[in-house]
Amino acid sequence: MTVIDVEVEAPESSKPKRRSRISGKALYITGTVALLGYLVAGPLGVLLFSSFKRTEGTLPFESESPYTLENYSDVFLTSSTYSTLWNTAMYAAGALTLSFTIAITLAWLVERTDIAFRNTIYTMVIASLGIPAVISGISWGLLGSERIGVVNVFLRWLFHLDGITGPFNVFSFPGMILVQSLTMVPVTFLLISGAFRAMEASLEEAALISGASFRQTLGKISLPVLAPALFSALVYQLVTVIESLDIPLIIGFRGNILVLSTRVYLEVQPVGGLPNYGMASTFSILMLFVAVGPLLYYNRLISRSDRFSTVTGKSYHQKRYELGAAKPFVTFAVFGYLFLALLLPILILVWTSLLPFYQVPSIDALSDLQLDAYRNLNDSEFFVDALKNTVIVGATVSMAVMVVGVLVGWIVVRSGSRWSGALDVLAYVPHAMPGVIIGTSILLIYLIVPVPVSGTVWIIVIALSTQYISLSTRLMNGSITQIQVQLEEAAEVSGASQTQVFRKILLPLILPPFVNGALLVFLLSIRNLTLALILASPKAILLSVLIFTRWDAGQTEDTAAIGVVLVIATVTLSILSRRLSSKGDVAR
Amino acid sequence: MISLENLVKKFPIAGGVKVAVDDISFDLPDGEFFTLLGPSGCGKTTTLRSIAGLEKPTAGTISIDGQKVYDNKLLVPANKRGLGMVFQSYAVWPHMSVFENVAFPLRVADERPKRSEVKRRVHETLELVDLGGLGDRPATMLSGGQQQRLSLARALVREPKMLLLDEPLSNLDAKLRDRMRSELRVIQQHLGITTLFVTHDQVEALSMSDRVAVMNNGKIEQIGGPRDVYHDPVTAFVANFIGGANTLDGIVESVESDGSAVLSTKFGPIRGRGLPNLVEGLPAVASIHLEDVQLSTDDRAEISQNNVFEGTVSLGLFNGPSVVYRVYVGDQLIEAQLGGHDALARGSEVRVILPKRHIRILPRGPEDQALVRGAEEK
Repeated sequence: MTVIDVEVEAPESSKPKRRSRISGKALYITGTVALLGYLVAGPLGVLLFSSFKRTEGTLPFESESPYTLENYSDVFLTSSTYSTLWNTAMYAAGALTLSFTIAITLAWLVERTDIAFRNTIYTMVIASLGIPAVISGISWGLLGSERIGVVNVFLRWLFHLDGITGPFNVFSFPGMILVQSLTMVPVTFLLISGAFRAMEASLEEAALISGASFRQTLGKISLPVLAPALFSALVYQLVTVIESLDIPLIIGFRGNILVLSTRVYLEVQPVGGLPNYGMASTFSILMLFVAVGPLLYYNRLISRSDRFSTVTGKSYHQKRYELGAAKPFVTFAVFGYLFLALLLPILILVWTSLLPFYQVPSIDALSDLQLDAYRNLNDSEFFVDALKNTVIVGATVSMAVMVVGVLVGWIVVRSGSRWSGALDVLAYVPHAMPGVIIGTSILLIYLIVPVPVSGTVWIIVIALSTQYISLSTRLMNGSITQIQVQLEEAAEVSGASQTQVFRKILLPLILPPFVNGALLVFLLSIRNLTLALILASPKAILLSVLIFTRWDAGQTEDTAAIGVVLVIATVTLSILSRRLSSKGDVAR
Repeated sequence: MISLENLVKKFPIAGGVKVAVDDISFDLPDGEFFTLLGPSGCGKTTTLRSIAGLEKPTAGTISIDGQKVYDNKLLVPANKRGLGMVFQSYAVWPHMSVFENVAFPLRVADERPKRSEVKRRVHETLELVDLGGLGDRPATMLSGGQQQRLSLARALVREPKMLLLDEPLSNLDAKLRDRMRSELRVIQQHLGITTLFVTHDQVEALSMSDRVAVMNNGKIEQIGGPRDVYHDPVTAFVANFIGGANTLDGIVESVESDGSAVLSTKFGPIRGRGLPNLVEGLPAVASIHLEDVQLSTDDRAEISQNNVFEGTVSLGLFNGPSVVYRVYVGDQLIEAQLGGHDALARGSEVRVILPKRHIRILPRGPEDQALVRGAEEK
């Protein structure tokens, strides 16, 4: 039912009333489009503008900054740019290969085999989703440093190795890839495990009956059928790895390995000297191309994806592959991995937080255990402020982003407005915008826009909202699509106005996914380091930034203590959100 | 061709074990179309999947073509059994074309036929199922009925020892289902392939099969030709599940030497053909199909003699070829199916005639009653 139809069919007498309602709806749609345009298109414009300005210690908008192409020539004619690009490519390739190998294996084991303790494994993988990348980086820095890293000390003892360093150095290219992979496994697992679960077992059974061996079935049926889901996860995670700043900064930078995200960051927050926004913008634009390319390709691919849809019947109960004699070994190996990826980083964090200075875990060190670091936290003004800021930012961002998600979702899915397509694209763009880019451009915008948010937590709120709009609209589009249109039509036929339909039917029905989405965004916001770091100022410090700066300053035990506090919050949130969403599945 | 002996399959469930298949045995001669019929959860699909090799039975033996494929020491995997199977969901591989789907069983064979041979056989099989010329289409671009034929072609292409059909028609709409019933049977007879068919639809079972096994709660209640199980059910469950006969409760009053029996019900005695295991004084049911019940407006028919009762028409449902009337004899409901030209007004007084030769009197234990009640709820 389009707006035009209503007007034509409506009797004369009701016309004035209709008009006022239509303009209300138009106002709402225009407002939403304008808001999104401001949040998304604004930063892109500023970025492009700044990349053509020479800014050595000046701001792009000041008259002292002339127009120039020098930024581009500086970026593209320097060999270091190409080594950075090469590093980025290798880093992405390595981390994607490793994380997907682990995640696919885990997903297959959990969803399709009779491995023991399935639920425990699932919960532990989800829990590790709650560990912020900044924490993973720091923990692995403690575990894997050449001289005193626990892993190295243990390996030297185990194999009777001589020397006081090695065999493994985390501050290296392989080390950086390893840690990045570990942080990416939980999300990858979540993205693909649904496909493993939903895949009809009869597709594989039909191959077996046809005479195919287990390996033939795997190679010719299972993997090709799962390919679209695996590929879409791959593209999503490619963007993640390109934009990630935490591990490149904490692990890579110390090993003198630069990737694109660290280059942008160093232009904005140089170790010495003044920020060069022009160069940062130019690097950002280069980075945007690297990230957007695969995404466009991916969108083209999914537009043809109906080719992969199948008729599904009432499926027989899923039969699980029997691991047989290998079962204990496989189960043991999986728990070994979980120990390495989830428990060990947390344990070293807790251990470090309980000592006055870092020591390799030993019986002797036990006598030094104390709670001083936590007592210090309690007294530290910085910590209390950061905690308060973090909660404020998390709560505001999650609410704001989810509300925008509902508004956009309704326009895209239901309104039939001619804006819906454009809005959908606009809401999706931030997904391809690496955090450093969003951070940089928002920093620039509020240097000119006369809204007093610079130097406060509200600029971080705006940046995080921009970043997570793509997630919330995706979630809400999905949820609204799942609600049968007849439910709303029935309300309309019963005499409800569009506003009433929205309020009394749609909102209650999408409340569960709304709450779950809000939890997820809250979790992501408080574990985000990139934006919080770029936009940080003395009055606007979040926990993640506090952790990073303490670590950078070498205050290991403080770092660890704050880390423990943050991890408790994020792990709880991630398990809670999972509980909620699995309940929602049952209800549906 | 295939032989099952004392097959048992138990599943662990929350708080215990579910016996899905409870000690069943049967033999299929070459070329037979054999149907397992029963309500959902009766164990028919589990039996079929055990034969396919997709499910590992708990006990018993299965042999195909004289060779054991399962006993307590041996389990031949599904891909070594040389069978063809059509799944309820069709299981058409979405990433392959129609041709590739059908060619798959040939391409993964131990002795892979030549390329030209594969092509020839795939095209022959596609012609057989009336999909000739569609080989290049992506499999997902087919309609439901076409996917079903594709799935059949894939099952037949390597000339399997036996064809397994797991509710293949249940996802089709009513008209297509009618057509596919006869087509499937024509193809099966044309190839002479031994076929095991699983369904919960008694019309499919009766119209397609050489023999039918009616299953309930993991057990086979009766095996026989379609006419046998329809006209001569041996348990109250079979009578009720096949053709939804009227079942009238009562107590066995007498059993005659000629095999006939009298059941005393709350609205009078009913005479019918009794089963040998009837015992006087125990509960039993009289079963009679709807189309065998006669209604007469002629007052001269004698009441209380030869199974004639007085009833009142409460509802008539006209469906074209026939009318189903609901008639009350006292407070007992009896349904009767009459020709489409008969017309009785609501509230009419009629004589309800239950011809003795069409009535079966079946024993009913307390367990039986529970089963029938359960089946009715479904």
